Amino acid sequence: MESPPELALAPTIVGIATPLAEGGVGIIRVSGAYALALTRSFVQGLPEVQQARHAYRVTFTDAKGGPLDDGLFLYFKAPHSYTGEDVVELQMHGSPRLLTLMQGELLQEGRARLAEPGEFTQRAFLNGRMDLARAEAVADLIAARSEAAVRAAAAQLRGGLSSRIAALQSPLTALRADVEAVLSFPEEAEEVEEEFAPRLTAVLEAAQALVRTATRGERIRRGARVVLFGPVNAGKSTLFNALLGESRALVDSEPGTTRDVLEANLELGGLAVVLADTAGLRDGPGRVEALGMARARGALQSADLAVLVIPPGAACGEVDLWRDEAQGVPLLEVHSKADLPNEVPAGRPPDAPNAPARWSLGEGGTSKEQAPLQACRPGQRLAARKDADGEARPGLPHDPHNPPYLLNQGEDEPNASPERQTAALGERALQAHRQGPFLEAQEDARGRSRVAAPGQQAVMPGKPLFHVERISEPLSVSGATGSGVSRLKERLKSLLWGEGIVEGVQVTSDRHRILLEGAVQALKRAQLAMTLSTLEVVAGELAAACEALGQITGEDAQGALVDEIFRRFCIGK
Amino acid sequence: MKFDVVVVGLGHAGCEAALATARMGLSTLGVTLRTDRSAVMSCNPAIGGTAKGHLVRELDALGGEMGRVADQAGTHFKTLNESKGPAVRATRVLCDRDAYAQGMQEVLRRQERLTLHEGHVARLEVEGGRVVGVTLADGTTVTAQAVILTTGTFLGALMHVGEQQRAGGRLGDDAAEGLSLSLRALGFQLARFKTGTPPRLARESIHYARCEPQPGDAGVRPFSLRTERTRPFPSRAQLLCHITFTGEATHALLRQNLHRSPLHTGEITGRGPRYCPSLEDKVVRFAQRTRHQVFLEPEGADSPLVYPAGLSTSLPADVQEAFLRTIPGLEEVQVLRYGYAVEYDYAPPTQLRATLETRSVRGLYFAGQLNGTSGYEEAAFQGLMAGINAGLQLQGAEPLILGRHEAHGAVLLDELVSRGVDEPFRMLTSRSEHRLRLREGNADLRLRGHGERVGLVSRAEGAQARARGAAVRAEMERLRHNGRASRLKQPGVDYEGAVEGDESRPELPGDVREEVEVELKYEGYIAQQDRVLARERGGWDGCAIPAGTCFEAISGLSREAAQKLLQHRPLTVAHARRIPGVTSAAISLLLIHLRRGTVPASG
Repeated sequence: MESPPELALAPTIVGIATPLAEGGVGIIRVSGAYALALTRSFVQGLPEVQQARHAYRVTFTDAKGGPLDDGLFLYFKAPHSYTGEDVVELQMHGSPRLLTLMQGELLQEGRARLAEPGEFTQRAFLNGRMDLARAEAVADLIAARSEAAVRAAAAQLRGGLSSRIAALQSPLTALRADVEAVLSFPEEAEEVEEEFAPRLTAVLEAAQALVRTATRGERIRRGARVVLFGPVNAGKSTLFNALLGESRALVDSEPGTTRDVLEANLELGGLAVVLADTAGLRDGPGRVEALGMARARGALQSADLAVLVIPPGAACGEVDLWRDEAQGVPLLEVHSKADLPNEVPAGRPPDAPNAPARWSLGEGGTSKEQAPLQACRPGQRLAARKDADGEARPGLPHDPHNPPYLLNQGEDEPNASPERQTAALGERALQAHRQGPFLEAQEDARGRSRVAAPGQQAVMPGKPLFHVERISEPLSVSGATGSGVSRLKERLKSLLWGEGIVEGVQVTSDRHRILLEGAVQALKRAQLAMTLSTLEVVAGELAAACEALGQITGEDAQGALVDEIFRRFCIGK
Repeated sequence: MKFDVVVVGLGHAGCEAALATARMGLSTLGVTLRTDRSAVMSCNPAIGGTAKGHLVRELDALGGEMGRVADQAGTHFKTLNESKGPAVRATRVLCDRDAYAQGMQEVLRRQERLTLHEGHVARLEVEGGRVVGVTLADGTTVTAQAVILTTGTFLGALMHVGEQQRAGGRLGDDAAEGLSLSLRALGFQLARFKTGTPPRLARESIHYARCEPQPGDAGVRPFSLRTERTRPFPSRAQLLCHITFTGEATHALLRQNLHRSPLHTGEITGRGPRYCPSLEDKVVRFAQRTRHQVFLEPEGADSPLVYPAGLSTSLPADVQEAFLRTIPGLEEVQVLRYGYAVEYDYAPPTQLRATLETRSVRGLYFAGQLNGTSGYEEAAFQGLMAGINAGLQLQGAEPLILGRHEAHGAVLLDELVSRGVDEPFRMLTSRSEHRLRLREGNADLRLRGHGERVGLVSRAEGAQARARGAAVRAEMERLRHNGRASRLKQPGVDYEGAVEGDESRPELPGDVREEVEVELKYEGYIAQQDRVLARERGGWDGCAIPAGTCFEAISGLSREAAQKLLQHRPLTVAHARRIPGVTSAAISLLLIHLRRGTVPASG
């Protein structure tokens, strides 16, 4: 008996394929045997016969023929569609109300039902339209929280992960095949044994490199947690608000204003960040505050990056105590400049604080000799005046081999509004950042050129490693996002995701990361066994590594091995 | 005639099957075309090797015969992989070809309840889904409650020597013709495989001085626990093997004559084993290699024949002679028998249960090369297991299904019945996820208990294994207690090094000391492997698929996947996962239905 075509009995499903938010384009996707028949009765301007993969400009209507919106009608014929079934996509304007209305019309007749979350992808997977890694990427894409997450998921969707894993798998399977051939055909498999160790090292290093992207990928997918902490009244909430560009935290000069942990979502250069503002840490607080501080410590422990906000006049010893609070969480220090004149630029929101409004960034986990504190003592200016000929001269002693990098200063219109200028400066900071260690020349509203400190790189043994970077220029953070805040954001971004534009990040799913780490562990044990144990133990660990990678792509490691042994060797009696 | 069991074919599988059922108390008839050709080594004259040596020791521990006969016939003993670890260390024994066959035939003749009969089985008799006997070509009917088919390469066999073809499963023997038809009539699928064997060379015509001598190893442990330790071992005079190499001239000659090979002209359609390719195959597939190794193995002390391992070919006789003479040492070689290829019917083993009983006919068992395997040892192990399970079924006892963690033989059977074969199947240690614990050295500890339960291992022999196991455990415990176990686990420290200066050290036999050393050294690795396996399985094994599940009715399952599932009838999701052609999508779908409890039952 002939069995029915795949999924012929599966009901036709309808779903809004784009996020329910105001946007340019909203897409309703219909998948299943009745997709075309169903949607045809809700559009006008369609020809009698629809060509597959062809976009038709149509008017979408309700069941009675009343026009709802204009847009595109796309038909994908099974099996050459996303789900492998007949698919119709209705592309209309991205209004949540409109999309919901249209969807309701399509569902009304009962010829289709609402798609369950992920059901389109599930059908695509079940119909063999994508492998497991890609299906998971789609799930991530749907749940993506930021632009970079979308990019990472999209890369994975294009097979980025699969190809990176494949690039790892082929030398590993070849190595394992050679090891197994030596074990299974000791008399025939000659002259391969000596290269095992370097080949293993190469595979291990490649796997480790991929795992390193996993941590970045993980942060991209779920968003990184950045926690602001520091002594009471250091101005954490002000900084919080400045970073968000909106006033979320209750800000007051009264010490201990923030008693709980406030969280907000922030997008940093396309990356999702959960920013948390905590209660100030100090001795002998009240009961409510003590609770807030306990939560602050909890928040610190789950942070990907802790930002220590140091108020003016803080003693080195005090700062050390706060540093200890971070307990190994990567640390960035920010110095407030409260003793500078309280110039409040225009555009500052009325509820902004009158207290600290000036900041500098310091290095996390430095020794006292490094003394970013002294170097950044309040009021200390490290600026270069712009000469008459327009050249900026750094006011800081700098590395003669690493001359100051000057941005094309003075390009801004002299009469531009401060807001516009700071925005432009922020953009420059970003540009400069991508170009490596730099001195940033800035032009302030009054046309003076200032030079920020060089981005020296210092590595302190036994401490978390960070770039030493100081912005000694007083920065305005209230009102529109100032250049100082832009710099801070850039620092956060590079500390969280490293330098460069975050793309090409491959590993974004937990399952992938765990399996990859499993493979790396097995390869490390194999390396150890290479010197300490027998070849059969090495072979066992290589098998475990192959198995782990095979589970990412869904391949049969055992079958591949046997094929590889026979492909590489001529073995016979 | 009336017997409890009929065994059809007396090759390596048939001998073990017939001996097992007879020893289990069942009257057994062994039918073969020629009794004087029973237990003949059709190809290479060696028993054992990597994974195969393991199978022989496992078979021996269960009460099989191959190991004991090989010990007696051995002329060149070698331990392979000596330095690569105790789990891949393997014994290989070159045998006197005639002595092996005669030794086994002697055992068959002396076996109580076993009757040997020369004849040709033409048809299987089946009633109500159960086998009731066989009919021979001469019309004789034999009734039996169980029939074990071990026909090797003889079903629909066709031999090729160059452009010539001739029906026959082995040079000098006929093919078994009618049985293929009978099997097809019963609904069994048959498919084609091919295999080949090298020419046999005249010993006197070889210039050994131009070859590299390869002596056997001294002090190799006999395969069998039952080989008498009181007599000197090995019992036979030991022979020397030699190594030589093909060269560019050989390869050029082969390339010029490829058009005359039935493998390349399309005369042979069956798939051959990749690990045992013909020389012309190797020259094509590994064109970059300038030489291939050739082992010159004497077939016995008195035999005029030498078996050149590595030179399997089916080219015409004149080409064989010509290319052989390009090889150092073989410049004036005389060929006594030309190499040939054999094409034969095999029955895809996914038609079998884990006991090797067919799914569709009760009491009918398939074993050996008929199941698409290759190798004497693989065949013998299957024969033994088919015999044991047929015997247990007739006794009304539980079947013996070994776990993959217990024996390489279990891995062999499981791979056959759950994954099937797409080329002649050879056992490899890498097929086992439990390789580190499946060693030649502990086969008795793993399996003698099973052998004893089914009645093939005497109580005394069983007790012997238990005592060794107890001694190993006691010594491991003692070393753990006095802290010397951790010293032993260090690289480069052996048992002797670990117990140096140990006053309370007991007098232990060598096989106990060895086992203690390996067990302790591998303890950590084995535990680690087990953890990984447990994690990977993640409950798959426990996830049972109800018998009678109607896979066709699972909506969304692709037709191919449904057919594969239907064909294999997996009992667990773990088994389903291993079936080729069943995608992970199909598995997730199956799991979804199992979880929801909506798996359709056929009915």
